[in-house]
Amino acid sequence: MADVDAGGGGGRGKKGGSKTKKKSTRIDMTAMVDVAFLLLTFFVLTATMSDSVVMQLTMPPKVDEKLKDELYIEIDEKKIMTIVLDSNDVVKYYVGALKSEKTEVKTTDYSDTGIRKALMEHINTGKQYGLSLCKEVDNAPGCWDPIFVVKPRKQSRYKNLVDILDEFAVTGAPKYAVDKFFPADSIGMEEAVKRAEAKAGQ
Amino acid sequence: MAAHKPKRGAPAIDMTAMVDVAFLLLTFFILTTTHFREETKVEVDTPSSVSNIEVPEKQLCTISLSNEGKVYIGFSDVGTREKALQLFMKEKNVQLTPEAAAYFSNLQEFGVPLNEFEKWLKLEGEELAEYPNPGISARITDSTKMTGNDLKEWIRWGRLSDQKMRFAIKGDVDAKYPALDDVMTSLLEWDVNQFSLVTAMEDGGLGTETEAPKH
Repeated sequence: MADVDAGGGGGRGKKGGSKTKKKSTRIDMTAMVDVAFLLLTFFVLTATMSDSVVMQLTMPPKVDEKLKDELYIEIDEKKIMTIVLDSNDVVKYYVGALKSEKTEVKTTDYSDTGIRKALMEHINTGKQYGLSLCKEVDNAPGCWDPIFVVKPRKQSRYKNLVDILDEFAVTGAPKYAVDKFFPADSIGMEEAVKRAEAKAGQ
Repeated sequence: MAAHKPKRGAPAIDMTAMVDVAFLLLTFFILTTTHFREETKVEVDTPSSVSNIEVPEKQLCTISLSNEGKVYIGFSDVGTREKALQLFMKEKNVQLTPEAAAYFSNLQEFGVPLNEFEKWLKLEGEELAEYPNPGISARITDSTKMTGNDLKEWIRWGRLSDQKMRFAIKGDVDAKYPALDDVMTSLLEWDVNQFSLVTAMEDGGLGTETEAPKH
């Protein structure tokens, strides 16, 4: 196969005076080339597989306690969708405040038909109220800007957070924040579920 | 006797050029592969995302989070590592040999608690290289106050060494959220509220832009 003529002219030259052996000085490189290609294949395959990317996450900055009241903004509750990341890759979500009678806690998963559908629905809810979705600039007054709040529970894993941030990227959710899951949320959710059960029982 | 004698045997093909190219490619892929160049202290299986922003190579501080919630930190630039170690020595009143400093500045990542740091870097040879890396403390909500928040200290030294330092969190798929929360809160303590999450590339990513994140 791949041979290299290592000697000057090799064994073919028949010049007089040469007392060296007349054997061919060609080196068989087949094995070496085989190994080289094997390694090449390995590196090509591993190089393309270890691609890592980053996703940006912006957290709300630390707020001085004194400024908290000043920075307080009243937000229309129906704009806020809270997404609770639960254990075992379960995700729960609700729109509005937990105290409200109408609030319904729904349970879903991270699939295309699960949380993604719910996110899309919430983004498109504005149409129901006759509002158009807010753009980045030149907003009409009273446009619809849905806000998503992610509350990961202690049992949730890192993948869940990345998954939900991914869904935001896919659905183009404009405003989202990662918040802490407070014990009050847990109580509120349980109450909301009980309320729904009571309603269903009637 | 036939006038035209058919050729016998396989014709010899000169494969020199092909072999040259093969070795060139081999060299290229060996050098560009990051798999073996980086000596990481912890195996992290990152989740995948549709993001298409490449990991910045310079001025980056990577905080790794293992599946057990252990925290490791690494600086991308050798200069930053040296400066950060200088700050550590100055603030903790520790004297280290230039050899120890050189060893440290070659580390991609480390997870040795601060209170063991002096002991660790004063070791030599194999003992130094094989010192256990149990991860550094990143605890925020600690009523016991038994251990300080080492991560916070390193974030501060990192930022003092490099003003434009960017932060990335490289979490394991199975890392529990409270561990991540500790890391994020440590960053927020120093008003770092923009950071990156390192993930693996997923098929069918969004668009084709490969803009590096700006801070």
